[in-house]
Amino acid sequence: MNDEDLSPHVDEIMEAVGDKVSREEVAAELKKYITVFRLNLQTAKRTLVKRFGGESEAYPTPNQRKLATVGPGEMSVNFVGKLLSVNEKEIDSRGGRKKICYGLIGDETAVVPYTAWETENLKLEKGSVISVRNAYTTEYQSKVQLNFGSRTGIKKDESTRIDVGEIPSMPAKPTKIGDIRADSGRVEITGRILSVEKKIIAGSKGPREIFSGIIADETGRIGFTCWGDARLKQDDVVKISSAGVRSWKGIPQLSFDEKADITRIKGGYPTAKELSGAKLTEVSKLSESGGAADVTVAGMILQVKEGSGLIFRCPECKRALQKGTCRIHGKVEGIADLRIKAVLDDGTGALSVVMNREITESLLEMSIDECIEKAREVMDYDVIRNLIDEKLTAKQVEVTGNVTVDEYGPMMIVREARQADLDVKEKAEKLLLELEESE
Amino acid sequence: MNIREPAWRIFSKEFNSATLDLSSGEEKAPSYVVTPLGAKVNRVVVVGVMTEVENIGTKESPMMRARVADPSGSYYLSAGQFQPDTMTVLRELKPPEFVAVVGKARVYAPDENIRLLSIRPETVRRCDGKLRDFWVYETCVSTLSRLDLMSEVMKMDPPSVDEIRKLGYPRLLAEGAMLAASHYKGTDFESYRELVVTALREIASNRIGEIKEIDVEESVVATDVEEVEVSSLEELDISEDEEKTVIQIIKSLDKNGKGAEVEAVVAAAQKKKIDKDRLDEIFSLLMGKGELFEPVLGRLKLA
Repeated sequence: MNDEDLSPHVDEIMEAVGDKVSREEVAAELKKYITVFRLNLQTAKRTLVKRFGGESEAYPTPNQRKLATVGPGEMSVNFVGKLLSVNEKEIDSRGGRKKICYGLIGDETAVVPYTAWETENLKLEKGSVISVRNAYTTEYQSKVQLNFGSRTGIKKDESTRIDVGEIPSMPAKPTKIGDIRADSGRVEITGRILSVEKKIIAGSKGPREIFSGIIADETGRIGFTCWGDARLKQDDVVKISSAGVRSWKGIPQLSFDEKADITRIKGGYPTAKELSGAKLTEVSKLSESGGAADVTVAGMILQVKEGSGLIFRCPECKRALQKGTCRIHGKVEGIADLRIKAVLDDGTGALSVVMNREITESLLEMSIDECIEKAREVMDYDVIRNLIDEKLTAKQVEVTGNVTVDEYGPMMIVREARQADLDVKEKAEKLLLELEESE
Repeated sequence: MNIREPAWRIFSKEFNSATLDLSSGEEKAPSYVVTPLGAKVNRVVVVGVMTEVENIGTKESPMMRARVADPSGSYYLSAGQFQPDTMTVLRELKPPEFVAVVGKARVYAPDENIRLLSIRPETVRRCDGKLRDFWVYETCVSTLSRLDLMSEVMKMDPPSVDEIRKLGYPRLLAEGAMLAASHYKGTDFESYRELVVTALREIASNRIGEIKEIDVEESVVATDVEEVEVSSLEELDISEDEEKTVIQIIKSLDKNGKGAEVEAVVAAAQKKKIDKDRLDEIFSLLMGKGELFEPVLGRLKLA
C-alpha cells in the first residue's frame, strides 16, 4: 500500500485527533503500523486515534452498513441511523431493576426495532441521528432486532442527515388491511371509514387538530391518524395512496396527513355493517404478526387466572393492592374493582385476555356492588373469582380488542366479550355437503 | 420464549395413533407427541362423554383413571395426587356425563410392547351436549385442515418447513407436518376423512326424529343420483338397525342393573350376524353419543 492510498485514511485520523499532531507524523505512523507491524487498516487507524488522544468514539466507524443488509445473530454491526422513537421501560434483571430504552431506528433502507440495555450516561433523543458501533442483532418473531449492549459505542452524528420519512424509497405497496404488519413501511390501501373523530393534541407549535378512527376492508380493520383535516367522513370509501405504518405496542396503525393523496370511491363497496361483521382471527396469526388492532378471536376459556375477581386498587396509582397494601404507596384505602385475567385458546394458540369491570359485570350478570355484598356475606373476596371460574372455564367465548405480543405470547385488552353461539347443526350440514361435492 | 402451548382439538383416534414422541430431555421444556396428521401435541382439549372413572390407587394416595369417549373412540385420563383440583372434580362425576377436559399428553411405555397414550388433566368441567357437538364440529374442521396440509406435503419434493409456511400455515403446523411426513409411512388418510364425515353426520342430525326427516329428503334427491350414494344410504339405515339391535341385546342381558357382560353381548350379537369388529364400532358410536358406558371394565350399561 503506497502513500497515496493511505492518504484518505490519514485524513480521517486527522479529523478525529484534531491538530494535536502533524499530518506527516500521522502518515508515517500509519504506514509503519501497516507495513512493519502488519496491523490491519482498521486496527491501525483506531490505535492511532487513541494514541494521539483523539476520541476513538468520534472516529468514523469502519464498515458502516445499511440497515436493510443487517441480518439476525450478528455480533458486531456498525451503522448510522435516525432514532424514530425512544421509549423507556423498567425491567427486572439480575442486578435488580434497571431502565432500558427501546424504539425504532431507521436509515434510508430500513426501519429496525432496537433495545439499549445500558442506559446509564446514555442520552437518546427522538429525531437525532446517531452513529453506532458494535451493536449486535437478535431475531424476534422472525424480524431483526438491534441491541445496544455494554460493548456498543453510541455517538451523536450531527453531520449526517437521514430522511427516514422518505424511506422506503420504493413506492407504497397496495396492501390489504389484514396483511399490514408493523414493518410494512408505506402502503396503499382502500377501505371504508368506520369511524373518525377529531382530537386536539398539544404539538410543538401549539395545539393541533388530528383525526383518528378506524378504516376497514374485507380482510380486516386498522386504526388511523390523519395529521390534519382531510375532510374524512364516517362511511366514506377512500383510497389512500401512501400511508405510513407505525407501530404502537406492536399494533400497526396508519399515519398520513391531509396532503396525502386520498381518492374517494363511489359505490360497489361492502357496507360498514358487512365490514364490521366480526371476522375471526386465529391466535397463531396474531402471535406471528406481532400484534393487531380491533380483532375478534373465538375460543375456549381454559383457565381463569389468579388476580381475577374482586380486587382493590390504590387510589393514587391504580395498582392492584396486595393484602390492602400498595407496592408504592403503602397501606391505603383501596377502591373496589372487578377484572378477569384468563387464557383463551382456539386450537392454534393461547391468548391471554384481560377484561375490565364492565365486561366482568356483564359476563357475571352481577354488578360490582352485588359482588362486594356477596363477598362480605361469605367473608371471602375469592368467592368472586370462583364464580367467574364457574361461569367461564371450559366455555366458548368471542372476544374483541387490541392485541399486543411479548415474550409470553399474545395478550388482548378485551373491549367486547360474549358467549359464543354453540349451534353447529347448520354449519355441520354445510360442511358435509361441501365434502360430498368434492368427492 | 415462554409461550403457552395451544390446546389441540383432535379426535382420540388420531391422538392414540401417535407413535412419535419428542422430548427435549431438558426439565421444564415441553414434550410432544406427533400424530400421523402432523399435530405436534403437548396439550389437548376434549369435550366428550366420560364413560368410566375409577380410583386405581388407594384412599390415601388416589390415582384416578377415566375414559372420555368421542365419535372415534376414547381418550384415557389419569390424574394423581399432584392434580388435587382435578381429583376433586373426578370424584364427584357420575358417568356417563358430558365433560370438557384440558390436559397434557402423556406417554406410558414401560416396554416395547406396551404403549398407552393418556391425558394428564389440568382442568375437568361438567358441560352439556351442545358444547360437545361444538367441539366435534371444531375438531372436524381442524382434522380436515391437517388432512389438506398433509396432502400438500405429500406433493412436495422435497417438503420443507419453509415451503409449507409459504402456503400460509403457522410454524407449529408446518413443523408437525414435516415430522409426520418423515416418521409415518402409509397413513390411511381416507379413514380420517370418513371419520370426519361420520362425525359431521351425527351432529348435523342429532336427534332420531330429525334423522328420519332428513332421510326422507335425501331419498327424494337420491332418485336421480348415482347408485353408489343410494347404497351408502342403505348402509346407514342398516347400521341404525344394528344399533337398535345392540341396544336391545344389552338391555335384555343387563338383568341386575350392573351392566351386561361384554362377552355375552358379543355372543348374542354374533347370532344376529353382527361381528366383533362391527360391534366395537357400534359400541364406540353409542359411547360417543353418551348412550352407552362401561361402569366397570368388561360390563356395558345403557345410560
